[in-house]
Amino acid sequence: MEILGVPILNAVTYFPLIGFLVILLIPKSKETLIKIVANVTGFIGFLISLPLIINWYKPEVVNGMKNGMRYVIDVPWIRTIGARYQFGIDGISLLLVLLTTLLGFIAILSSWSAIKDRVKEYYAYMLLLQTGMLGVFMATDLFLFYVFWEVMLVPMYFLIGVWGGPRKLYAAIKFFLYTLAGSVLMLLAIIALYFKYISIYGWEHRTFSLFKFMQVGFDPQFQWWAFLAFFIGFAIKVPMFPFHTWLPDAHVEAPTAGSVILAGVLLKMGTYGFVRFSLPLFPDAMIKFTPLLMTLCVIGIIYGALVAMMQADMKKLVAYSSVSHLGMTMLGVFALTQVGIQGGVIQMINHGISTGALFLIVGIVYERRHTRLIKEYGGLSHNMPLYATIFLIMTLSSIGLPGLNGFIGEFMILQGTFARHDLRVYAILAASGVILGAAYMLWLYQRVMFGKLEKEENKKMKDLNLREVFTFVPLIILAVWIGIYPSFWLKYLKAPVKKITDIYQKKMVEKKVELNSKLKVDYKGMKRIINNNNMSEE
Amino acid sequence: MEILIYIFAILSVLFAINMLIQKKMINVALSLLGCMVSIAVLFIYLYATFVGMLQLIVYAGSVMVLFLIIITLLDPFGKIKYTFTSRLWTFFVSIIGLIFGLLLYVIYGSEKKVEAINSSHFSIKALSDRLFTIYLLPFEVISILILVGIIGSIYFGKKNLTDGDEDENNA
Amino acid sequence: MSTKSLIYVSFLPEIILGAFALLIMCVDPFLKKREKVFSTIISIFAIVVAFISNLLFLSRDASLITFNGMIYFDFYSNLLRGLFLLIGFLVSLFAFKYIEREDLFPGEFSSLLLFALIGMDLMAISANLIMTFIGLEILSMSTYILAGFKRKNLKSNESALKYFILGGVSSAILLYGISFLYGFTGTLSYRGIANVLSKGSGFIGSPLLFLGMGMILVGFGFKIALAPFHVWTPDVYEGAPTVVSGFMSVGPKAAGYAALLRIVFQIFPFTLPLWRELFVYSAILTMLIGNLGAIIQKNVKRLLGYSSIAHAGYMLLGIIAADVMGMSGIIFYLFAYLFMNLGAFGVISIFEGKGEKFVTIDDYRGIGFKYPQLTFPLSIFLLSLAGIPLTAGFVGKFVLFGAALMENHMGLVLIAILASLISVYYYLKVIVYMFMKSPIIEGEEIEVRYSGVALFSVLVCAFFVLYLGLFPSYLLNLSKEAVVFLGI
Repeated sequence: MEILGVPILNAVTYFPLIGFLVILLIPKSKETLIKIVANVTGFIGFLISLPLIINWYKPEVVNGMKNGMRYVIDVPWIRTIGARYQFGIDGISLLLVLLTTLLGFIAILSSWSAIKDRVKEYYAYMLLLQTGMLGVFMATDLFLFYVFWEVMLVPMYFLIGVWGGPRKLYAAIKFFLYTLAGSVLMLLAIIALYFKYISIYGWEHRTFSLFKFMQVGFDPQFQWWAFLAFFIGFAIKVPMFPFHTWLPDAHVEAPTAGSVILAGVLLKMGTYGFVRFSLPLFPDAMIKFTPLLMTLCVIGIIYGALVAMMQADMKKLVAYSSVSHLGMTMLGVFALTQVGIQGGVIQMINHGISTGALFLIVGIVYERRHTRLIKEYGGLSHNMPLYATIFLIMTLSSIGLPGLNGFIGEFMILQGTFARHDLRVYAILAASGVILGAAYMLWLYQRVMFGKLEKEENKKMKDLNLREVFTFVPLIILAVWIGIYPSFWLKYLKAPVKKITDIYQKKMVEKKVELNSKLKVDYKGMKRIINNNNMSEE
Repeated sequence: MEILIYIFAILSVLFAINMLIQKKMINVALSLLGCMVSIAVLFIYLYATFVGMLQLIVYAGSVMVLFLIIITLLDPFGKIKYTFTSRLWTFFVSIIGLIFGLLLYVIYGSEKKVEAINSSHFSIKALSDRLFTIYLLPFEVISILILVGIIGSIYFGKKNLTDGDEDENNA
Repeated sequence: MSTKSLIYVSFLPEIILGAFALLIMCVDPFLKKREKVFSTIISIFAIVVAFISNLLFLSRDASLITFNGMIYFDFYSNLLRGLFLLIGFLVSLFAFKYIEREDLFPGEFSSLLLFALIGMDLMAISANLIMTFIGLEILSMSTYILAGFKRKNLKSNESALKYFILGGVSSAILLYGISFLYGFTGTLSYRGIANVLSKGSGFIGSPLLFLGMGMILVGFGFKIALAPFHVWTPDVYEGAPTVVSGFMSVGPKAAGYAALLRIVFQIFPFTLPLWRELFVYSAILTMLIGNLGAIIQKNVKRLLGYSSIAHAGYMLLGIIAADVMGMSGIIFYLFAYLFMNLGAFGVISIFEGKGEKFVTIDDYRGIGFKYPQLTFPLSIFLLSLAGIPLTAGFVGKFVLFGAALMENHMGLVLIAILASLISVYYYLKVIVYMFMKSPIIEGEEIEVRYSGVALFSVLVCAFFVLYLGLFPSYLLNLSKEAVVFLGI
């Protein structure tokens, strides 16, 4: 697949860079032009990512698959150390790439009136960030992956540090150092894998390719260490429970669009990292650590929900709800069952949609009132009906109302976890997190939207304009789409997740961890959904 | 004879220390001279007669003279005073005279031994042979080092190195 | 090529540099003040010509020893010489307007720079300890003078004097060490010494040899600014004219490493375990002292001074690894370091303004978006120094740390990583001040004037930092090809 002679993955990844360069050439004073260029770039960037999914089942694409990856680009990059420029996407990456291009566009669109100073630099960084994030989801060479992973820190750091709130410096540096510390450990593990591979196959076969590493089957002791290093790198990014402290700071201080990207895409890089790298590379360590990881997830779910409930700041509330939701996501992934991982991945998308939208929602009132304190609002539904509707949809999506996307994800995760005898207790505990989630979100909605419209400033607030509505439309469509017809999306996940679970199936049989087949049959409805997804995949 | 080595070795160190202690430029220069001469004696005692003589001629002779000329001529900050008391004068003269005496003694005393040992390594012919064959490059390259040193000393030493205004006026 | 012409070819770039330096000294006195720039132009021209002559006569296949066993004519020499000439070229470009602004003397500056380049070349190509020493002395002597080039500035004087005294002592120690080796082996040529040492394994444990080696290490440690011989660095960098600080942070370091690599691997391959121990401790100390010292600095020149100590420590990992990857990593890192550090010093020399007034981090408040053409390149340099991917610094560190890891120096690599994490903090601090803090008095950012030449050279540095970060393969291969001649 090519667009104008450029391999499609390259086109999708580097298209924002073209916008970036154009913006650099436009003089500072022409702010409107800069905004238009950025928005057009974002929109076209989204459009050119659509052929990825449209052509997914085309014979030439299917035939071009390598290691389960489509649209593969594979050229030597740094020959001396064996790093290759290796791009490719499977179903998991596909969904995340689409989410990224969409959220990127929405974030750019939502900044139209929110960013008033240093417009040029702002949009330049946004587009740069876009390229960095897309690269992370496409790279299948660990060196390349690491490069994108780190590089995307820099524009995000600037976005928080320059356009952020009052404590932006603290938040920006904390974000940067936290993430860097984790990722450097990950780099160490990558180098360790690299040398391990060399020690087995010799220097001539030096490589950073994920698929080469997957074939090796590292010894458990080594897996143990490498997994821990990767774990810290990814867990900080997710963020999982003990490593989450940078998140509220970064979220609260970041500009709205920054929060949207941060919650919608950046955090997904951590979860994606687990699914793409940790799970296939370190099965033994994974199984060994499952109880610990599950515990952390459950603590994250409940702790995040409880803290969110106590927040007075709307943005902070949404930030802590992210901790809770991502705990849920990771729970599904670490369950290591087909349903669980699929649910985890779909929940990543859900979280991107609903939390991204919630940050936008907070940003809209913040832009009008310049405060995010819940007690400053109340009764907004009277003069902002459109806003209230959208807020409600997104709240319900976030708490997992059937018919909306959140339900599908949470249900699959809990079911996938419950399917394993040894993990049932975690599933039960996590389910309580769902209830807490409903509590704090509905409470928030009630306090902000219902009651009497008392404050004078609030009475003056205008409802959404066309641009703002337009930012939400795609998100709402997706929320409903995933909620009602999930199999359209789940079918892309089936094959790649199966590839991972196959590894574990074998390992678990070895370790005599029984899968509870009885329960699987019990959930016939769910089973049917899953089976439907199996339709035509490979 | 052995004892002489120790005497001169200690002397060279003492002079070197004195060089650091002295506050006046001229005393420093003279201590350096003493140090150089002591080292020359050591060379000669080691049958490196030629190097010893070079040390004497080049360092104790010409380099010292240059030093003194520079000190007297440049006097960059006008702070060096030539308060050369007679006491110091006699002290230095006697010390240096003593060294010369010992030096002569060593040269005469060791002459025959130089004959006895295969001294081809140290003969002038062998030395110049090497200097102009194997060590030609270092020998020539050292001139760059000296040139750099000269540039530096002029740059730091010249009193009225103004910002080029003079040139403008002259031209 | 006949042997005779080969001799001259192998030494041609140095001859060119020397000739042009003399030419400058002859021409300069006859120039009016306004025409003084001409000497800088001559020096740039000389460097370009030397670079071309270096390119024309490459020795990629064989390692020849010319000039009666004084000079190696091999690809290692070629590559390192290219590195030094690049340093000289960029420094001259940065100095172009700097000298005019600070009312200095272009004639002396250019000729001293050319002489320093000759000294650096000699250190890299020498096959004989006496040659190495003379090269080192020429380089040092030139740098002493350059450090004190602002005669009327007390700090500059202090800097020169400190550098001179400590440098003199270290040279003496180095020479003493060399004399021990000579007494031990009766020869000064690298190969000769290696031959003697390889024949008698009984020598290895000898305290005299160990002492001699240690003294040589001390001498070079001083030039490279390895802890515990680093104390002069921050003071000297702070006091010296900024362009000269830039040169000192890159030039002597590169030359020192170039010579050290030859000495370690061509003279002492048999005694490597002895060296390694020393190097490991020194590397740990250097990295920690450099990075911890930099954290508390307010003066950007001092900050970069400390950071340059730290970088010397990272490079030492390559010697400790002692394999092709580590060695080529050092050479690659020297190139990367050249662009990022010289670039950073170049931007600083622009920001500080006439009389070097604005050199504290506080002065950098709020200039980020006012002069993006300079602050963004500076950010790139700092991020590269911190080792963020897509920059040359990352690839360099990756190769060096990787090499050390491959030779099972896990603890050392962990310390190195910790050290570079610390470094991220203070590099980011500069970026934070530039972009995210407003000036103490609103609207009172420093005024920055810059010339086209300076901007051009900054952009060239930034380009290469990114280029080497994206496509390091070519240079890594060249470095690999070069270090093969060290006979590892």
